[in-house]
Amino acid sequence: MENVIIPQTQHLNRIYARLFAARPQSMAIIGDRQMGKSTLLSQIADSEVFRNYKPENLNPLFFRYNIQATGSDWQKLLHQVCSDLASATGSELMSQDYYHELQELIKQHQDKHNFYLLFDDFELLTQNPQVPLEFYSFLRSLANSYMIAYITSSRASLQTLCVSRDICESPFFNIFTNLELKGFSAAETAELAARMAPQADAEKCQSVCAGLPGLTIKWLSQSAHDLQEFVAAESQYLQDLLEQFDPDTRQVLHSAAQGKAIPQPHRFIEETLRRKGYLTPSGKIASAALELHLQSAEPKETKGLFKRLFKK
Amino acid sequence: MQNEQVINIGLLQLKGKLEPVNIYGLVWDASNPDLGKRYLERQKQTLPASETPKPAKINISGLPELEEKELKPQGQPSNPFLNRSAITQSDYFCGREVLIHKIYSRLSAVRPQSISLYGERRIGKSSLLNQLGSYCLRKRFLQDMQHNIFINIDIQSMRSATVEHFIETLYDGIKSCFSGNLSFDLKPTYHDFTRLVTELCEAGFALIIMFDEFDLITLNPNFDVEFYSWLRNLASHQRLAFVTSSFSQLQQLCATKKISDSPFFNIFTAYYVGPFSPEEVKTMIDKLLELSLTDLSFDRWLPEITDKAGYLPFFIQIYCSNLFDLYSSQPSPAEVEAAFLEEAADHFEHICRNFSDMEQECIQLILAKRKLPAKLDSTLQALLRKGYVTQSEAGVRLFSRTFEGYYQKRESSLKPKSLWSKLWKT
Repeated sequence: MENVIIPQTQHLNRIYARLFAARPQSMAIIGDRQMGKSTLLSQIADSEVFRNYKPENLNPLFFRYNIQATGSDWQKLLHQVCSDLASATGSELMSQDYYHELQELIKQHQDKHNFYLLFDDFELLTQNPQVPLEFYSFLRSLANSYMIAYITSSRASLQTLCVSRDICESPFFNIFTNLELKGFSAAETAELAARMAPQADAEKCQSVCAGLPGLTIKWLSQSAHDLQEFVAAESQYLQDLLEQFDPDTRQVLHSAAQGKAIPQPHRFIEETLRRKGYLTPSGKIASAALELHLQSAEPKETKGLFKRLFKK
Repeated sequence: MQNEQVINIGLLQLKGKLEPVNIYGLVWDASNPDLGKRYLERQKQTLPASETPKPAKINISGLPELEEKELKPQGQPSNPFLNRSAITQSDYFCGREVLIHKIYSRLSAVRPQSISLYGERRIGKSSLLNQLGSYCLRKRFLQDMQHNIFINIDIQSMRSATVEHFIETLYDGIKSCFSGNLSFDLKPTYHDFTRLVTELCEAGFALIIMFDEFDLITLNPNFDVEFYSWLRNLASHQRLAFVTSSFSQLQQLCATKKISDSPFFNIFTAYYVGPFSPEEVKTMIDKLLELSLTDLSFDRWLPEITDKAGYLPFFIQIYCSNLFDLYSSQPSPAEVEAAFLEEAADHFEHICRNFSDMEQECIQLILAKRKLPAKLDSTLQALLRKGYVTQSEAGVRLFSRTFEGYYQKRESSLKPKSLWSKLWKT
């Protein structure tokens, strides 16, 4: 999805308002798989994009790290960040105490630049037991004292994706404003369709894909627009989309596809799915493609009567 | 004892001390004057003249002229409610007037007195600490602000630090206050730091050293009882005071009982940082809106703001930032609440997770509008103090209707699954 221009103007307005505030503020971009998190991160750091938003006197420096690619070795990451900052500011690293070096680099250059560190798939760090609590404390301390902000992307809120209670309780997570990515609105889908496939029926695209970014792009990329064929061709993609959810959420989706009532204890999940755009306000599956796939696929986690009654 | 002599025997490295200690001997045998000479000979052998420590030089040429720094937004209107990290700009800091008066009455004393600030997370302790050293407060409260040095140390950045690292950080802090007008070549030792403080005080300066998240030091095993005795000694004998922030009273946050029993903790006056008053909420909103370069007024929204965000400044900022973003589309209260909840949910979750069993019991009774038993009186008082429960003529309620809804949904989702729910999975 990296090369596809996705209309995310409303997100960019919100993000840059925070990044380019008198004191830069950190953001956590949250979204399910294929929601466009990485695309948004690359747009944020793109000078062609941010020059339209930045105040004239501001000189931002963006550094982007994909934790999946760089690995979740925090020491290497810290070293990499130090090297990149040193190179961008024409400085030299004086020691291997990278906490100290990073702090000094920012302290020395914050009059000229605001620093922005972008971390894609940040949950790979928060879920790594090797990353010490002091790493997060250090990052918060930098953000509290200097002109630096972080932009992270993760599949859920960072505090819910921590390896231990200590990490989860870290005040580091307080400094973030969450931005949850949801499906495209009808207008955004129409705008994307006009750019990608002018001959496509944008309304049909919205009803088939419910604005789910990855699915929308797949629909617009194909030449024939038959729902049955599309679902058959993309069944693995749709299954992968479902696999990201926990069993209870999958169960709610299956029930919604079969028109069954959702019991009270799962209403919480139903509401979340509605908020994310997987369900319509009336509780039906919002995407016709996903609905068809759910109707044809059996829930994998079905247990026998005995297991259901006596196992947690 | 007329012929008694004090002689320096030499330097010895003692266990528990960071640097060698000078050992002195008292020669009391007046009939044997050679005894002293023999000791002096021995000292010459063990401590060559070249190794005798020379007093390090300290050059002080005064604090640079303090200037007011402003970071007011310029140009386009912008959302002034975006601060989620500690507030560093004075313009964006609001409220806490009573507390600031109390604190400064102690800091501005001839011999400044130490203060410990404690309170819940996200209540604004770090922002208050940042503000204490600000130009405008120093100008308001201090007679001679050019002779008061404020050093702000964030302990978060030195979580597993040693005493040496701690003292080096203090040196850096002091040097940066003087911006090049102070030079010294001192070792990171108790002795050398004490010397620096002594010289600064003799030059007419008072030092206020602020430690954010000081509990991280009290929980750090690298800092032993001797460290706290040294800090106490500094505060007792010099014009120096500490201001600390922590989420609970310092003595409750010590790594060992030995440390918590240290008399160091007696030097502090403890102040609780709690929720805002209704007046502070209004002042904060009005003051920040002035910085937005718009002519917006949230007066009409004020009851809605306190109903949904309570009197906790962090949540008021979140609510108002969303209201500000949506304002041009004339949103309904439900739309603003939905946006507020999206951002506040993680913080609500953190609050819920940290309620004690007694607090949970108390909250459930409040939500059920049932009378609280006497055994929960102190729990209720603690919740009121933290700002998670508010009291009015209508009775007690949770601080925010949005939080109330979140709490109830969370409770129902955490309830053990019913038989029907288990059977439902077809």
